Amino acid sequence: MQIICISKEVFSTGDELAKRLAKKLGYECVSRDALVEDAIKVGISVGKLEMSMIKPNLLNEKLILEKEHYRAFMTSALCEKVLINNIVYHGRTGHLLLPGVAHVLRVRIIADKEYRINQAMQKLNLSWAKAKEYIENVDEDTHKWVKFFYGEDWGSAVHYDIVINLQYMNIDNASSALCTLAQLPDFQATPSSVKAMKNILLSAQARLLLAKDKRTYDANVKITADNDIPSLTYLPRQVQAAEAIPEILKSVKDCKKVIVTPANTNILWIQEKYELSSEPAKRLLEVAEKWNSAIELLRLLPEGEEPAVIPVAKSDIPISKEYNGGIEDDIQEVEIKNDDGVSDTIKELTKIGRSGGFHQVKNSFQDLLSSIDKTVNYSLIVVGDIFLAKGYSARLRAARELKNFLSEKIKAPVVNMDELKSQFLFGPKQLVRLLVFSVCVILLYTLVFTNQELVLSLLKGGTLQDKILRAGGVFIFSPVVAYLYGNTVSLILKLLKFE
Amino acid sequence: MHELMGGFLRLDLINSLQVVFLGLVGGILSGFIGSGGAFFMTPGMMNLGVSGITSVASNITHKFGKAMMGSKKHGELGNVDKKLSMFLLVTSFIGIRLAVWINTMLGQGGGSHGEGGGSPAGDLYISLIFVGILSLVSISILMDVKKTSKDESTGPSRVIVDFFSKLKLKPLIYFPVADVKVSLWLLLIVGLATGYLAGTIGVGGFIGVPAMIYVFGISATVAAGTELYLAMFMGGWGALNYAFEGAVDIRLTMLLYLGSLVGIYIGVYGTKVVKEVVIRLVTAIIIILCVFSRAIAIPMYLRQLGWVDLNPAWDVYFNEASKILLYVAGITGVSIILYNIIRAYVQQSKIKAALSLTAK
Repeated sequence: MQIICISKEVFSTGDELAKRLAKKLGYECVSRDALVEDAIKVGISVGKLEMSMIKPNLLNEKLILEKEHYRAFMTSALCEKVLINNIVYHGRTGHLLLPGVAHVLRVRIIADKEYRINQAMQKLNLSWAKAKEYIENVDEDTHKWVKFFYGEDWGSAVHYDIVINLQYMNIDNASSALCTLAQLPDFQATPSSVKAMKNILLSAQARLLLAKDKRTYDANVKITADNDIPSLTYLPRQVQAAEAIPEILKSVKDCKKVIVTPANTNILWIQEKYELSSEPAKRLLEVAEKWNSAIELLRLLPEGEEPAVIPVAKSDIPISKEYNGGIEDDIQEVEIKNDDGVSDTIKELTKIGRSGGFHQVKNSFQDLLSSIDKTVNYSLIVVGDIFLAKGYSARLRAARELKNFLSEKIKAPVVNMDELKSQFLFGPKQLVRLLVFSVCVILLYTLVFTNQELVLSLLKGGTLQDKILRAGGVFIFSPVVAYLYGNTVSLILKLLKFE
Repeated sequence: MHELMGGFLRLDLINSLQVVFLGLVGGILSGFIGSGGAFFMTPGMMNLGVSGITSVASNITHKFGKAMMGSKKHGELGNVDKKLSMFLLVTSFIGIRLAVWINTMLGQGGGSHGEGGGSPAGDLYISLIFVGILSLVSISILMDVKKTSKDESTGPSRVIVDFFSKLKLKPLIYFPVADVKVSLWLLLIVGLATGYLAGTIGVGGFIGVPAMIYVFGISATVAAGTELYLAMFMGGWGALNYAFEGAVDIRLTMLLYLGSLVGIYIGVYGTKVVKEVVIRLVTAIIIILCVFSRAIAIPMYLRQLGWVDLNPAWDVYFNEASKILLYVAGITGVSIILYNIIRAYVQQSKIKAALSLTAK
């Protein structure tokens, strides 16, 4: 079940290195080109997707769906291979197809540009200038491809365990070094990393099945999976497609049941222990209710703890869109003394139609970041209590640091749990603000509209000094009115729970 | 005939409520379409008897504050490329200044047409630019909708984009948030055009956003966020310039705020419950009706300039017809949006009720 993903630049001879490495280790060598051919055979328009990188205006709703289908296909194909064999994969983004799978050895192969140009000249029979242009264009398109599909920077070293420059190392030595590296315990499959891979496979298989069915082909769904249960959120306007989902997913192997939630947006809730009856959690639920959002749980595991298997009983998820596949009674559930409230929270969220899925990661910020799907537009990320083993101040600091870290890396508002009320809910503080803003707005409007002639005389004619003063006055007055009145409206809408 | 106070329109309760209504519809359309709303508010104010230059000036001052509120949200979501905005800003300021200068020059003819203190030449000029640009915009949206409905995956012609990408006009500048490299010369031209249109008719976004998507190749969300950020500065610069020239009626700006800052929330909510293709279709229909509305008023300005021989008594009919058509456009658009919002709300309530019943 070992997987080595090699991300290579064009004409860097990374493919030769992959073949040599696979041969040395006795692993199967899988190329992106082979998987792409399979994707084309099942009807995915890979050519159009590639072309849309060069011509961005080709991108339309259909092609964006095709992107989802392509990604699901590649993920599913790669996971299926890894679950039965050890493989060396070489392509662009194998490492990004399996977020949260800890044992992937992620290798980046680079080479000197002149060397690559020479390779292109020989293999494509091009002039130096044409070969240079070719390489630059392919690099640029690949860069865009990775950004488009995964929201990541292809060249960033943070995504790789090792970067090898083949200018300074020959292929034999590089493959020997990688053989040694692959033997390290960090890159061996563990029960939790296999579990993570199975979850990814289940999500991808579910996505592909929905793509194949004409009732759900164009459904804009977000899928996560945990413990053989896929959780799907869909937009309220696609209610007809959502009704067909449980039936379509009947054929997914090992699928215990399906959770389907209508939601306009998704909120990601990062925490170590979950308790839905706590005050902060109630506030989060209130926000989710107002925005019609699904809440996705991301549990940050305490140091040294392995991911738990969350027990799911038949009676846990009594919702209208439940599908049980008729096999739950045969499942041997794993008894866990303490899952830190996760199963209860999922159960409660599902009951009220707010479950957006669940996954868990070990306690590093970087692992946590890698496990978050950058292509999902979260409307909010909430950082709750983490690192509970530490003291109160250290916990507060850690939560603040994580919030800042995520704010920099992810395009979504990130808040701590205690900021929810002040930013998104209506309390006594907001009432005071509303009163102050309302009084200011009424005063300003009354002053202007009861003294129209005076105001208009200030707006017309005059000396150069008057003109400058007038311009400055309007420049300051207009945004002040917008700020005061805009905040008044926003607070009133908060009060009315319409946002 | 509209009563004037020192060149500005005398506002009574009815007039004021109509301006608030214009702001509300403009705000709903702005939140729904994601661009401006000025294409409804500017001609709407002109129909009320406000001069073209004062309509544009008051609207651009209103846009300044509105964009300031909106760009903060976009910034939080990482949709703003500030570096790109800064490059576009330089020439957009020149464009705005040029627009203000032309509008002021034409507006100095003043007061002869009985439409609120502007000049027929100025109003005609603004109306012609409005009709020309918005016709192009609506036709391109309709073509896009037609292609989407035919299930074609190709977009509009790539001739110009390919031409520029092959030319690789140096210096090329990299923008990290938008993740594109763009020629400095293209940036300057797009900035100038966006500024000029923002200053002339208050709808710079109709040029800026498509240019960013189709010429620069950046994503639609970053284009919208960056345009809003840019609009904040352009609005500020426009407000400064027009206020200096004595063209801003701050009362109109304040009344527009009353409607638009409420409407924008309703419009944004609408985008969550209406399909993308319907949004584009509604946008195109509203813009076409606005174009017709403004086109109907053009003979009136031509008559006032003495270029055509028409009965002056007909002015009132042209103006009323233009006004009615504009209101039909606004009310139709808003009705479609509100209908979809209410339908989605009812649907969601049913789902929630079903879920809570099952949970019991």
